[in-house]
Amino acid sequence: MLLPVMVFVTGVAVPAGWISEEDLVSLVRNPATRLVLVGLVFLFLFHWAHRFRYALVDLGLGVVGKQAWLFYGTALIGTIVAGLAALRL
Amino acid sequence: MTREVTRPLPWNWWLKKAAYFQFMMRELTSVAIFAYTLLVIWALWSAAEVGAFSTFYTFLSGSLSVWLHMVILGLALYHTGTWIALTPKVTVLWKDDERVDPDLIAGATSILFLMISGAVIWLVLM
Amino acid sequence: MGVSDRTVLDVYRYQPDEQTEPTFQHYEIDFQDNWVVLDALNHIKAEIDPTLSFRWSCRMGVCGSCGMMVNGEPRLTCETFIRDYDTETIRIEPLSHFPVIRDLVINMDDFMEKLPTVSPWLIPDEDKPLEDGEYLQTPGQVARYKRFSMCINCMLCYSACPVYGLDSSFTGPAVLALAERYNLDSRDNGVKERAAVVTAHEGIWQCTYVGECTQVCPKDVDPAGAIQMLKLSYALDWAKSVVMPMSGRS
Repeated sequence: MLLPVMVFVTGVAVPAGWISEEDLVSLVRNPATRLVLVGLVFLFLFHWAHRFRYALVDLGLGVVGKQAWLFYGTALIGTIVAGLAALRL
Repeated sequence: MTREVTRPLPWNWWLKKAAYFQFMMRELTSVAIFAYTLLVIWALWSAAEVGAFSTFYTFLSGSLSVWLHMVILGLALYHTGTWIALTPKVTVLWKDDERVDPDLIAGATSILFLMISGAVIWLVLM
Repeated sequence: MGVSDRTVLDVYRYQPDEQTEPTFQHYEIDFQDNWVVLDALNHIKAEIDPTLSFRWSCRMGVCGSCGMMVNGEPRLTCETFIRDYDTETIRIEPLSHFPVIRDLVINMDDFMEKLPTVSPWLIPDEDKPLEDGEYLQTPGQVARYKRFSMCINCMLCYSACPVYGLDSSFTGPAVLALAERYNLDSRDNGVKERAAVVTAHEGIWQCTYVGECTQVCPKDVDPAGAIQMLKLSYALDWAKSVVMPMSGRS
């Protein structure tokens, strides 16, 4: 739901110069923003892991049980990294 | 017992019918979500140091980033759009024993999507 | 009406006693404007080739036994008019994803075995004695599940489902839609009883929502919608049981 607008912000608004570096960094440093972003990373990654895993299964490339840990594991690690990054401030 | 013929699904089944192909694209565009998530993690990570964040900001302003973003935006809109179209399948509402029109639910979800998007743009740019 | 035209049916043939591999046989036929594919097959069997085997019964889209692939699409052949096809030949094959016994006849044992596993009957709270009368429903209560109750077990949806084609352990569209039909029935309290089969991996969670089952259904049952509703309602039940472990049954 939120992905297209975020892509719009970083992909259009930033290169167009609508947001200055200072504004963006203070936005990302805002604790509320960080919480939201980590939450979104979690949702995005698990959504991807699930859809992509089943896409591979539907393509006849995978056995459901065996590769599951690979995708959800990646999603989990990504979420942890995002969490740590958010706490680095 | 007679001998029966089994016909396994060919690997390219999803190329054989437009609807199957659209389904597979919907699923595969989730890769765009994954790619973008890496960018978000980068933003979070670099925000701790001014220098690192400058690198990130400069990357965003570059043409490579703009091209990547356009591709991701296209895929993300397709992915989101197809999922919005599915919402009335899950949300079956009843009003006085009449089923609420599925198009109405999909429409409401789309409006909600636009409102949230607008709110984010307003918050970020203010 | 009655206008005659010529077409070629390209029919899948497999005679297990004589063939090891299936073949296609061409039948050139004159057809009437009001003929459906099933009429043409009956014409072939009566006039041209009595060895051709296929299933049919009611000729009016109720019994669900004449499902076949027509130009690659699962169709009830009794409702598929030849005049609607402008292709040079019309390709007739047995329903895909099922084993072929002979010619256009498929083995439906797998479907028949899965059908009763979701307890597709009313499981009331308590059995009322006969003299207490019927279990009454309002028209609104009927409307909640009506569309899911129209299934005629023709198995077209299984033929359209790549998930089933890939892995036939998947419970599949029609059977799961039937589970939701009873789950939505106000006289029924079997949601919990059906959970084991419905929420198994081979049940609703194996569905990736390709959605073609709904497209091919001749009775507008919408199995894809039913499965997504099942996913939501069982996920909510699960969430409730996590948040309020003591609340017990719904």
